[in-house]
Amino acid sequence: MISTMVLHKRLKQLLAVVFWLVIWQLAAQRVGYAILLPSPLQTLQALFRLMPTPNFWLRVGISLLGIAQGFLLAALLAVLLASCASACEAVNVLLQPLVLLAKATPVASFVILALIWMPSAKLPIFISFLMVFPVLYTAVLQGIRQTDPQLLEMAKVFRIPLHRKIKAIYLPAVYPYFYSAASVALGLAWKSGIAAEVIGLPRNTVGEALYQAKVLLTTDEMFAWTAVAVLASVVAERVVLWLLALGNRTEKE
Amino acid sequence: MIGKMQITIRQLEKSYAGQSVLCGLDATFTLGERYALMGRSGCGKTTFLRILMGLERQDAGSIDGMQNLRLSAVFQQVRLCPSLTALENVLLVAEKSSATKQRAELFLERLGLDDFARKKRVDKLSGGQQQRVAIVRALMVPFDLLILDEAFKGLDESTRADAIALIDECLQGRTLLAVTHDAAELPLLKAQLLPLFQKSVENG
Repeated sequence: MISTMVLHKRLKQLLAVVFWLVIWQLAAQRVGYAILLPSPLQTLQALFRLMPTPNFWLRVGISLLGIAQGFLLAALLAVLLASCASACEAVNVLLQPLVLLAKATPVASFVILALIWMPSAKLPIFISFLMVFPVLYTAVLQGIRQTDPQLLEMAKVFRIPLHRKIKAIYLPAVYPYFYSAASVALGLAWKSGIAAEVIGLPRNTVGEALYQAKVLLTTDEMFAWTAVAVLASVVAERVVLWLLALGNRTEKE
Repeated sequence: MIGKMQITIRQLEKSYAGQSVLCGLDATFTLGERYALMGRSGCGKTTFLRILMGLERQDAGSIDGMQNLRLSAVFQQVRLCPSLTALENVLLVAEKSSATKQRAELFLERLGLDDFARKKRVDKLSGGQQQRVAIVRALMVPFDLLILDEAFKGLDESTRADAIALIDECLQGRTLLAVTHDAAELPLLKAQLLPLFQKSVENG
């Protein structure tokens, strides 16, 4: 029964994708110029043309690495600083303006500023870090604050050591917040990371390839690279969320 | 030596939003004795225990003799970690050793939690089973003063008797302070009734 429902849902999702592909195809036919709007098939052809080249995988690898570094750094710092902020309100008060600033400032402003301060190769790391940190910091802090106060009192009375308290009380409380925030933050990291690459043009990146495709008016390749960025983002999100779920299961075992 | 020591409470006062809960409470507990507190709901018993446990501060008054006392407690709510199993909850407060684990398993078994129940997440256990896990947890930690806040609610007579027998064994001359609504528990616990909240019982 459940599998039939899942199948039904998947079928609906597939049909929705097919619907928009058809719309895209019709629009491309109507426009009639691949340079303005390539069709799905032309995009796919461009993708297959790019994929066998070593440079394609190098670009995907370098972009992935940069964005992953930014994400991991943001995750580590978010956990650390949110823990400090939950223990000391002054830390939270100090960090709040930075968090709000990072949330509200356009990515392009940060990219242009960062280009003055650092080499373009470091740009995607810095930008994805800036986009991810506020989301994860807010989530972790919220999770810590929502920890059951009765369990914390119990831990106090029983003199439970900090590492056990973290594992048994804090981690299960923070996990759901971190999990859903990580899902949002991964998408943000990809979008902002690629945007930073397009503006900063670090060598051998997806963003640089997108820019080159735009300059050379190879719109089909631009669409193909966009598809690569979307796919890589989805795969990265699935992998990270799977790892998080696995970590949570192992923790319980 | 420790048996002659006392916990002395003088003129304890506590109020919430202008509503007085404890008003000039005086009491003396001799360490090594067993005491019971009775009183109608809302008369301040739990507040008094929370102050003793250091979970709240009194507005006025003093408590002497609690320094360096190791506490253990069965709270009014079970306060178990929902994502852990029954056994994990018990071991959370205990020292890590195979002997401790065996002891925890034995205690849980004695209170009717078999191997299957012990390895189940506590949020999947019944209220009565959770209460028994909370009782065993309180007995797994080294303590000088054991506080029971309506520890046997939700237990049938036979399980309650088993739990009290286990507590009796573990106390071994240490101090007990139990809050109860059931006068029948007093002789079972071998506890003397402290008239701290008696006025409220009489009035109630």
